[in-house]
Amino acid sequence: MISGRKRIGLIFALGFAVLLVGGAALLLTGDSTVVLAEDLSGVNGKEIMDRVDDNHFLASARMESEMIIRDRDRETTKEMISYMESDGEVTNALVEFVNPRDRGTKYLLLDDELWMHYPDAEELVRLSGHMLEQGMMGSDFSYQDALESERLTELYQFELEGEETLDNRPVYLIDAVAREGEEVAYYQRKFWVDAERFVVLREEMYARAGRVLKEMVTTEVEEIEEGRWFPVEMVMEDLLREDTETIYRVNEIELDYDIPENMLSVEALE
Amino acid sequence: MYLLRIAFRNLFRRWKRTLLIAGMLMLAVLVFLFMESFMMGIFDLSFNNIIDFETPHITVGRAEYFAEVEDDRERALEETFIPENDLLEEIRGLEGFTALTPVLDFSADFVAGRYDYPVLVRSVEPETFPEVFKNQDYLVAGEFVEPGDEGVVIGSQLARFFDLEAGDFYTLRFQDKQGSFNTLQGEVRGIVTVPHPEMNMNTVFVSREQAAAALGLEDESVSQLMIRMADRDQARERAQSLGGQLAGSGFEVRSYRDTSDFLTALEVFGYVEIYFILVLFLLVGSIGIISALVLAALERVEEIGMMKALGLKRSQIVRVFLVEAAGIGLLGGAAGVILGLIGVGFLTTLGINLDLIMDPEALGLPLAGRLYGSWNLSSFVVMFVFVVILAVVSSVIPAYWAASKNPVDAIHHR
Repeated sequence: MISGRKRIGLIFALGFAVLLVGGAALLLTGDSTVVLAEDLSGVNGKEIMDRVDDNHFLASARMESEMIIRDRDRETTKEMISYMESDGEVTNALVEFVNPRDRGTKYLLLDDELWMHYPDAEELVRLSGHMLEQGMMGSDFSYQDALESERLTELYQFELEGEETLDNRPVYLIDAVAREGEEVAYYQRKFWVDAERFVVLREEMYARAGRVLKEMVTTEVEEIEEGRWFPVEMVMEDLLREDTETIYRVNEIELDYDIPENMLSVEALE
Repeated sequence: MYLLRIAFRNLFRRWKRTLLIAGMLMLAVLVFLFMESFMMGIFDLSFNNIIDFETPHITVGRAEYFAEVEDDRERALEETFIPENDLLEEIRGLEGFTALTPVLDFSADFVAGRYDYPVLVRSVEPETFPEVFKNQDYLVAGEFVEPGDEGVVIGSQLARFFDLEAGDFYTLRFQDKQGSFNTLQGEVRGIVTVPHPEMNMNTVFVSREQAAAALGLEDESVSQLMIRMADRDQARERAQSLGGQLAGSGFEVRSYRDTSDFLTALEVFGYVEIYFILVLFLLVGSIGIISALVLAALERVEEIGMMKALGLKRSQIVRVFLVEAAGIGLLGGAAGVILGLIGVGFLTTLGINLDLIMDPEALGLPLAGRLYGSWNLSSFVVMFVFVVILAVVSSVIPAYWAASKNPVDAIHHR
C-alpha cells in the first residue's frame, strides 16, 4: 500500500528502489508540478522526459521495499528500508537491509560517493573504481546505476522516435544519447514512456559499442496522488548474463518524510 | 700439542654427552641450511614467476597511474600515454636491455553464462609481448592473441570456473575513458596455465588495438612499458638510473621488486623466521656446551688440581677446555654441513611438490607445482665457522671457572 503526500520531488533510491525505475525518470529534478495526461501532439523527446522527471521528483521519502533476485532456479529475497532526500542538485540516501541474512547491511549515497557498511566489518568501505560495476548484493542492478543522480536531461540528448503500443498502453519511444563530454554509465538508452501517465514502462541500456546491456520493465504502476503515477514494481535484467533477473517492488512509500538530522551521514553510518 | 691431546681425549671421555651437544649444533646448521635453501627457492621462483608472467624486470608508467593502482582504485585510463621516441630510445639504451613491450591494463568483468567475475585485462602487442613475457609458452588449448584479434586468452582456472573451452563465446564489460559501459566480445582464443595461480584466475589477454578503441583511447595508448633485462640482478640498479633520467617527467620507473612489495615484505619475514629458529637451536646448543663443560669441570676437579700442581698455568687449563668446546663445535658444524649438503642437494635436484606441504596461493605466493631449492655455498662456510666460534665463546666462562680452582682444595675436594 502506498501512501503519498503533498508534493512531487526528485526520487532517488540508491541503486534499488525507484532509482532504477527507468533510470532517467527517477533521477531528475524539476518543478514540483503534478502532470496530468493531456494533448502532447508536437512535443519532443526532452519535453516528454521533463514530464517524466517531474512526475517522479521526491524532495524526501521513506520507502519499504524488497528485491527478489532470480538466478535460474534459485530465488533470494532482500528486504530494505530506504530514506532519501534531495534539493534538486544533491541527492543523499540511505538503504538498510532488514531481511535476516543481510540485517544491518547499509548503503549510503552522499551525492557522488557511495559507502557501504557490513555489520561484521569494522570499517566503512567507500565503493569506487571497478567495484561500482558489480551487481549490488548479487542483483542485476549495479552500484554504478546508483551513482547517476544528475538530471538525465543534462546528461543526454533525447529524440522522440515514435509512438507505439506496449502492453495495451500508448507509449512514446524515446532515444537518449549521451551529450558530448558527459560522463554517463550508459552511452545510449531507449525509453518507452506511458503517453498518458508519464511513467517509463520499459528501458533498454546500451554499451557504447551498441550492445544492449540491461533491460528494465515496469510491471506495476500506482497512482500515488491524483494524476501522479508511480512505478512500484519493475524487473531488471542484465542481458549479458543468462537466466537472471531482479524484481524490485516498493511496498510502502512515504513522501515528504521528515528525515532525522545527520541520519544521512558517514558518522551516522559508523 | 700436549694440551691438544688432552683436549681431544677429554672430548671422548663422555662421548654420549659430546655427541648429544654436537648433534644439537648439527641440527641447527642442518635446519638453517635446508630452510634457507627452501626459502631462497620459494622467493627465487616467486620473483621469476612475477617477472615472466606479471611485471618484468622494469616497468615504466605515469606516477599517478601507479598511485591509483596502489590505492586499489581504478586503473586510471586518463593516466595512459603514448610513448614518445625519446623515451623509447632512452629505455633501449639501458645497459643490459633485452626487450620492450607496451601493455594497456584495465579492469573489467568477464561475463559468460550466468556469471560474471572481475578480471584484469592485459591488452598486449602480440608481436613484442613474447619477447618480454612467457605466458604464451604455457598455452594448454588454442592459440595466443594475434594483432587485431577479437579473441581473448584466459587462464585455466577462469576457464574451469566458467566451464569454457577454446572457441566458446565471452563478453568483457568495462567502463571506457568517459565512464560509459562498453563491451568486448568474441571467442576464447586460447587457455593458459602458468605457474602463477592468481594469473590463471584473474588475468585475461586481448589485442591492444581492439582494447584501445573500445576504451575510447588512441590506438597507441599504453598504461605501462614493460622491459626485460639480461638478468634480474641488474634490474634495480637500472630502474634507479632510468628513474633518475626521467625525474620530473611525470613518469615513474619500477623494478620487479617495487611492483611486488608484498612478496618483498614476505621475503624479509621469511628470513626473520628462519633466523629466529636458528637462534633457538643455537641457544639450546650453547646451553648444552656450557653445561657439558661445567659437568666436565666438576668431574675433573682432582685432575685440574693435579695439572696445576704439575705446573700448568691457568691459561693452559683454560685452553684445554676451549679446545674441547671447539671440538664439539667442529663435530656439530661438520656433521651439519655434510648433512646440509646432502639435504640441499636433494632439494635442488629432486624438489618438493608444493601441494603436499602448503597452499602457496593462500599465502599470496605466485607459485605452483614443484619447488626446487637454491644453493648458497657461502652459508655453509659461514654456518660452520659460526658454530665453532659459538662453541668456543660459550665455553669461556665455564673454562675460567674450572681453571680458577685452588690446586690443594681441588685435590682434596672430597
